[in-house]
Amino acid sequence: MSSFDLLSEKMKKKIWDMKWDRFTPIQEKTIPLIINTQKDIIVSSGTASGKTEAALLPILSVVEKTASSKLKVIYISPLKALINNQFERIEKLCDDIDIRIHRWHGDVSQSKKLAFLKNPSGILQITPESLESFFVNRTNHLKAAFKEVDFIVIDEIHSFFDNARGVHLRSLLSRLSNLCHVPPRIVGLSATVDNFDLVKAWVNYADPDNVEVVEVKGSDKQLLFHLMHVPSETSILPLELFEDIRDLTRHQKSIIFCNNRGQVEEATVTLNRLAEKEGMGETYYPHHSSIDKKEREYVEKVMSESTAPKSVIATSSLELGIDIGNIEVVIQIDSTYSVSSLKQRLGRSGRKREADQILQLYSTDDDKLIQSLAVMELVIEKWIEPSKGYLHPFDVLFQQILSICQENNGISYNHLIDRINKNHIFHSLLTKDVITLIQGMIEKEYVEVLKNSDELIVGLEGERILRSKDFYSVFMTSDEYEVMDGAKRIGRLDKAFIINVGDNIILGGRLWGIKDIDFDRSKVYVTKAVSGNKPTYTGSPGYIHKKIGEKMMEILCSKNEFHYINDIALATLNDVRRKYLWNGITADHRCIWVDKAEGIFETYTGTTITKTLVWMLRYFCVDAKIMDGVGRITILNPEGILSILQKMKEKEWTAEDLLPYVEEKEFFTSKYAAFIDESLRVKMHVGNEVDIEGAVGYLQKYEFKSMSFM
Amino acid sequence: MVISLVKGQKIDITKNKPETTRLHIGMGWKSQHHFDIDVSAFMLGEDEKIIREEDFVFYGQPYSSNKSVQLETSISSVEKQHFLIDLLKVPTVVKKIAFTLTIYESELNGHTFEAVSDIVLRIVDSRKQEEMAAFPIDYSFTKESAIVLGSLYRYGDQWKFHAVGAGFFGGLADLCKEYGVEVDDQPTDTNTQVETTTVSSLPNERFQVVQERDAAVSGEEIPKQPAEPIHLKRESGVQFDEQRIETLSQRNDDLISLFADKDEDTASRSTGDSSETVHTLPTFLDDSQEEDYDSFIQSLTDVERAFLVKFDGGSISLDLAKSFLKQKGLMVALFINGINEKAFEHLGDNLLEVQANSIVVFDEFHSLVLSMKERANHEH
Amino acid sequence: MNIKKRDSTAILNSLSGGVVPSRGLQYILVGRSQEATQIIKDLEEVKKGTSIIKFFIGSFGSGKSFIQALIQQIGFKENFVVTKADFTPERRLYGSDQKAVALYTELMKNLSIATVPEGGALSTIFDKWITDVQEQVVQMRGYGSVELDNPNFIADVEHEITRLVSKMDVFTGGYDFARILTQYYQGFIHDDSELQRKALRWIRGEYRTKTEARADLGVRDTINDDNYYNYLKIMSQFVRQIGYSGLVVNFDEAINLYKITHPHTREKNYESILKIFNDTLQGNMEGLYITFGGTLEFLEDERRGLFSYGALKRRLETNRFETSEFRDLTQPVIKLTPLKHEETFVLLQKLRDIHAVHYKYQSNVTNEEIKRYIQKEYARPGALENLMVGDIVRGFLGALNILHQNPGFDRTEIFEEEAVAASPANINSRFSRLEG
Repeated sequence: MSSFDLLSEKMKKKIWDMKWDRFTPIQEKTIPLIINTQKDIIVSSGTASGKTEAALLPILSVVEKTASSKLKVIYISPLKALINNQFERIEKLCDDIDIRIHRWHGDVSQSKKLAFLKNPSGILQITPESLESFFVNRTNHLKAAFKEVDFIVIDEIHSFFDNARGVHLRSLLSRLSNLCHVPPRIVGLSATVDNFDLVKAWVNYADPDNVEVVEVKGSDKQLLFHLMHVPSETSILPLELFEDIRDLTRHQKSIIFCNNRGQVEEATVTLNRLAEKEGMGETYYPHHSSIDKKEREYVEKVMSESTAPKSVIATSSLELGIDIGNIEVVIQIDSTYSVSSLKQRLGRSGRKREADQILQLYSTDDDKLIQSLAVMELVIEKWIEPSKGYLHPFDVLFQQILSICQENNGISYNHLIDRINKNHIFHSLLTKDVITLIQGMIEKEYVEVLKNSDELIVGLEGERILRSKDFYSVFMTSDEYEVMDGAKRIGRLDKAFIINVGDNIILGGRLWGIKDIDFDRSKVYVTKAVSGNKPTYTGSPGYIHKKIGEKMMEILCSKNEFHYINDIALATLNDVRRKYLWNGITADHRCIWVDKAEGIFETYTGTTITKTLVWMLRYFCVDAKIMDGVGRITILNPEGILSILQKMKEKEWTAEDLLPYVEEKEFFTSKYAAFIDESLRVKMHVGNEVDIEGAVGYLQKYEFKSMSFM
Repeated sequence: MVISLVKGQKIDITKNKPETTRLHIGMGWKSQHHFDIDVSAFMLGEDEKIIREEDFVFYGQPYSSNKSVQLETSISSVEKQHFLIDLLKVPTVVKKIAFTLTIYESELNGHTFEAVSDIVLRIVDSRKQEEMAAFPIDYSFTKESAIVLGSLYRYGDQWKFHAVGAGFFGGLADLCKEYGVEVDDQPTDTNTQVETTTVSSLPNERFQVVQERDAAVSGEEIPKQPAEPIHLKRESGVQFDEQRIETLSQRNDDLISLFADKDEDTASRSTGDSSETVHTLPTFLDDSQEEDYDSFIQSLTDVERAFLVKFDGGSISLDLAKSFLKQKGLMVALFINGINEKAFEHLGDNLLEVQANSIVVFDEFHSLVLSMKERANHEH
Repeated sequence: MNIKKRDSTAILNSLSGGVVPSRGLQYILVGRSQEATQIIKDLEEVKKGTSIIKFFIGSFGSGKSFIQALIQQIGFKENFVVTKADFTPERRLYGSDQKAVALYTELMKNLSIATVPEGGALSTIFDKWITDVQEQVVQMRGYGSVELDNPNFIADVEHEITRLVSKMDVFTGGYDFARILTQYYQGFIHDDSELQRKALRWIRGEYRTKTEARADLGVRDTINDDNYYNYLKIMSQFVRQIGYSGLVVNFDEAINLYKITHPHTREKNYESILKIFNDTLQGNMEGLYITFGGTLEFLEDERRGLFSYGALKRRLETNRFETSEFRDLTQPVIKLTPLKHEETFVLLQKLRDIHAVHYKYQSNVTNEEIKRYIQKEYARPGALENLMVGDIVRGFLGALNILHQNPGFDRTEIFEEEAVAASPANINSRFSRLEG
């Protein structure tokens, strides 16, 4: 039976109405799996390949009859903006059948939420944090709302595998499952992923074979690259770079990615100035997490509706698929830290049928040039970082315990342990560790044991955390000022960025002078100015996977030319390569460049391994620390370094050996990590920041050379 | 001092040199004899496009409209052709002059700049006969058939030069398209939205393919919808919202009566209530208008009345009208207009119409004029 | 249903021929009553002395031309001078090589008043005015009557002309205008129709060279691309001075401005619109009602439409709070929403009644039959994309004609009776009554 025939009559009619003449390959494969089996499904394919319809058409066919009166489908999305985008799309699919779609997130009005609660039916679109809020604040409605849910669709599921947020989501879904008559099926919509075993276990730990992965690799798009090297001495980007961007974007719609928010602001102002000189109006719009939401929504709207060549300048805030119209070229200033990130960004272009995916990358110094080349080459090789999960998630468990106590209005000790053991994401934690956690929580009054019983309720300290308005998210946000122009919110500034009244800054692409700072209320008042400095925001430096490091070394030691780079890039590349080539260094070597009393160890491996090596070195009394984001370690007094490396290779390491050498600021940290027992925090650190096996493997794999610097 | 330019470099031409007003821009190269290389200059406006057809200077049109840019063959051995630019005469709307080399019919003969060497552009102050700068191209091209060597551009109230040295693949045709030179005289306006994909591809020339498309795999075909029977079923697409119809009908009736009210004559003219249905007797408004006819007749002057009485069978010849009126010292057009104005006021419409050879009374007022005539006769 | 014969004739003939009738529009503007009421209100205001600018935006077939015809109809009723002009590649608001003055000339040629509704009313306006001036001079100066051979009288009249012109609030062009009027008057006195013609030609902007103008009329200037707007303003003042309620100007086919390929020229045209906009709002003119008819792209396309011109975009963006129920028709842009089936139904209903009244018979076409007719029309292939209300109307009127002339005609062919609502006997009996 063909996929089409499997669908319900009304869905068939819908397809005719939409005038489709073919399914996409992913749709063809997914439909039978959803209709004819009871499996959990991961739908994995490139961007704009029709994944949403691939999942929804069969799901709607299945739940059509009952969904008008009962909630049947929960659609999880990582961003409110994405929910808003998808809402219309899904509404269109549903308009002939009597199925309602409800949105539930921070911007949805109370009246709409109440209306849903009164009559939960159809499809609910929600973010993980709003789902948490549901558990904590709408506890009475939980069962009534969710008991008939058959499907949980998770959009951009790949963005949940490696972080605390994903753990949080999985835990919530696990708890939700308990409320349902029949455990709902999970359908995850994913970009291309490696390492499906981990993914399957995440979806269904008890029965990973029940998870079917539907994959359509390959794409119908051509990929076009160009790399331009625009060296600059300072951290200020050269005007030449912006002029070139202007040339590219004068007639084309583009998205320009920067690696930090301050750069976004700087670029917006500079590019708009260039456009103005040509008599054009506002052409470049900034978009990042510290710009006020209304401004961001306005930018998204302008981009998606405008036919004129406008461009948006963003950080990863626009990496996930918020609709911004048809982008013709993607511009990236300096490399991303991961291949998956670059791939995701690249996928923002070439949405239209015949269009290609076009990427222009700029590198501004030698390291960034090599890193960019490495990442681009890995994209071409179709490699992607494998998922690695988020180990020992005690921090999230802490928060979930508070949530569970609240949900159940008190829960017996044993019952809680049982729940945790059966939870889809916490089951792998050792029971003794769980007990340690709970004990610690009792001691610090996060939870409280009721007298004469073994029932746990939320303690006094726990209540404060529960009542705080950012309880619902498990990721950290930095301390920020809110920036106001009169009564209008413009965005936020990091408190770590030192500002004084009278300073000028750039925010939202506009120039502002600071008139007043209200430290107590964390507000900064500004008025328009004619010049300004780009703000700095604290951000964590990226982690690179060892493959990227290895690729960089490979590039440095070879003579390959790359046909997509400009002359200056080629010249610089050859320049940088010189010292490796002349010294006969190959990709099987790793060097320590010594200049008098200081050595620079170029590890060219993954960040976690590099960190581990630093701690290992310190164990052997070497004064070592990480120098930059591409794995260089500075070593003071590097004589005898080679023999130390040998010793490191031969030692049988345990995590405890390294712990004394981990500096406070190098320690693993997360939003709730500070609240958990020290021993568990250490475990998290070891699980996520340390890679002994990898480091030893590294030491065994390469030949180390100590070279003198001329 | 001659500046040797590198690709991408930009220099001042007129800054601090107010006496530099005439330039000689020469282009030279070495190639096989049978290579047909053309030199062209594009005079571009703010939007990087030609403003008028005359602003494209090439072998077929060696001067711009006011001769501010002229193309000549060179005598020296270093250059093959040069442009003479009179900076003072360049129209203010021209913001940039681009100098290009192209290979004639490169698609046909397959010639490219790969086989061309020693390409150079020289800038000379032609008044002082001093060479100011030279841009020798010291890198090679491959399959390009057009080169933008450089451009003179306005910077505020000065001129500067940008050594571009960029090659393109489409030959002169592509350059023309880029600069908005209409090659086949068809205006490009359409009513539809201009898609942003039909835009200059020149900046995108730099991108290299790193991955081809994968073999096209398509999903299963969706079967065609079975044809709906021609008979209209109850759920045919066209539905009528009765309530809306009611509202619209009411509003339309209101509008009609609003107009009727404004018509003094017709205000009191209702034969029954206004919400009439189809099946009552239709009425025409001319039926009962005694009062207005009277007030109209009253408003006429003697001359006007006498004139109307002269009508026979609802019309009067133009000549007759003219002679009658001339006697009274009156102009025809104005006179007729006066009567019509009164008619408009009392009867709600014009009474008379001036045609080629006669003046006629509109049909519905025939009876009126007839009755006037009868009355007049009666009086005699 | 009460309707004048001239109105029903105009309606039936025009709609059958696929053109907009010039009168009787209130009967057929179904679904546009809000717009019509607003227009009536607006013209009342203009009569009192304000000036108003309106943009009627709708797609092809949405009835822009009907609205403008309604404006003309109301304008006549309210004693306005009405004129119109379509934009074409040769007629624009701003241009060189005479494309702007061509627009002005078209406007002058199309000047109409209630008694001269088909254009060319300029001479009538002038003649009327001269008569009035003469009368006034007779009254004021105590002449017994109009004394065309009395040089004092002539001088007094000319004096009066100049005085009247100077009373008008015009900055430039007043002097020449007065002079032309005087020349026209001279032609009138000396029975020199040639001179009068020349003066009219000048007013219409048909003089191309200053030399000719000087030779023929003794004025130093001509109306041209650069100053025609002034003269338009002068005319609007002038007609008010001489007793009309004001000047109505209807521009249509604004898409031709959108089509201008040179951004610079296009922008200049839009700048002209902005100038008119500001002049009306700032009270620099009195008694001028000016409308532009265009499509949605003309208005909203950000690269070439009015919205590409920042200052206009700000002023013309429509009220965010508007819905189809609660519309704000006081704003400059009025979007004409396409007509729906209900409008079509009521319209055909009205036409059935008008047809019956006009041809003096009793119609037996039922409401149900009209609905089925509409359904049938939309069921035809290609209907959804191509069918316009105008086509349905033409077809329906044709059907009414056939039915009226051929009582024996098989109605099912037109109305396709499936489920017979009334019993066949009833219908046929009606037929037989008429036949008898």
